[in-house]
Amino acid sequence: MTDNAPQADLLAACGRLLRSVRVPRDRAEPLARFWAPAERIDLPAGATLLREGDRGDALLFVLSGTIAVSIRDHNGTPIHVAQLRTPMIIGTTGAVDGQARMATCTLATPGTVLRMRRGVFVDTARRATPEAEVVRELLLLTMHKQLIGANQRLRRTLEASR
Amino acid sequence: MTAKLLSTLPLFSGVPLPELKRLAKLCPIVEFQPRDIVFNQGDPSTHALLVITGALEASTLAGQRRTVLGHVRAGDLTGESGLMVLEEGRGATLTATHTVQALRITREHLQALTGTRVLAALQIQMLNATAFRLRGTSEKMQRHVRKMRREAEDHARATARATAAAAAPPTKPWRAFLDALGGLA
Repeated sequence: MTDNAPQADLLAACGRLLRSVRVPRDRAEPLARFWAPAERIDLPAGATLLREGDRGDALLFVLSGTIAVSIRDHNGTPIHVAQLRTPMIIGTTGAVDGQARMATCTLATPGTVLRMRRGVFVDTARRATPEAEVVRELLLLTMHKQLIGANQRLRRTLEASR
Repeated sequence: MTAKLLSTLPLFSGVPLPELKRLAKLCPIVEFQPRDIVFNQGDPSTHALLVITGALEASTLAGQRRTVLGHVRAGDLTGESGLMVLEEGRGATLTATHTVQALRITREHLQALTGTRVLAALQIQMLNATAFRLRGTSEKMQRHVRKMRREAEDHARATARATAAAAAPPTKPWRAFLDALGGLA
């Protein structure tokens, strides 16, 4: 491996993410290269990754660990919503629009995270390069899949509660 | 002519004119008159429209109830789900409210634009639109979760069974709802 080659865990995580949205795995290398400017951080269980209400100032690629998602109720008390498996990119909406985080994400188990500042993400994602193209495609497909699933679930739940 | 018009749209700011000419050459221009239905809710999603001039209205029909979701204007990309690999029907009906000129863009067109700044501009526009919708859906889901929590608390207080209510496991559909909300983080 050369100094510029992506680390093995990053490359494997990129391959798994791409497979989940049926993008060919041969694009894992450019996706891993996209994350080269990101800061790699090892975090303990309980570490906060994103906080509800904070400005979307970064995009996070959680390579390992389990993510606990919560939102605040009407009293400000956290409601545990879900646990997410990794690898997963989180904080996408905030990184794209720069607005407030929609939920709080913490690590339920120790994990490794790549953190890319929003300014770097926006600048890099705009380029006409294979690295930028694969990240745009991945984010679009992932966000779209989440949107369809959430809208279906919302519709069913609201209909059932009428 | 079309490329010049495209260059005035904010989403193409900084995109070289030769690339806009290529986009205009690749994608046919379609026109609609006021009250024309551009596509119907449930139609197969096969393409997106980049509105160059005019305006449209997006609406949904549930039973007899028609809900206007919003308006689409010059510079907006609409129906972009047709550019994703995932198969699905149109989520809303799109009706022209003014005379409309738009570029009809397919997945094949995007593939032909690989390596260009015009593709980057289109995809960034799609990311912004999808983020906007995700935020809207997340807010609706969160409102519902908070409402359910408040009702559960009120009910528990009224029946003096707070401990039992808090300990009750979530039902399967409710668990799936929360999982979908968690996925939007």
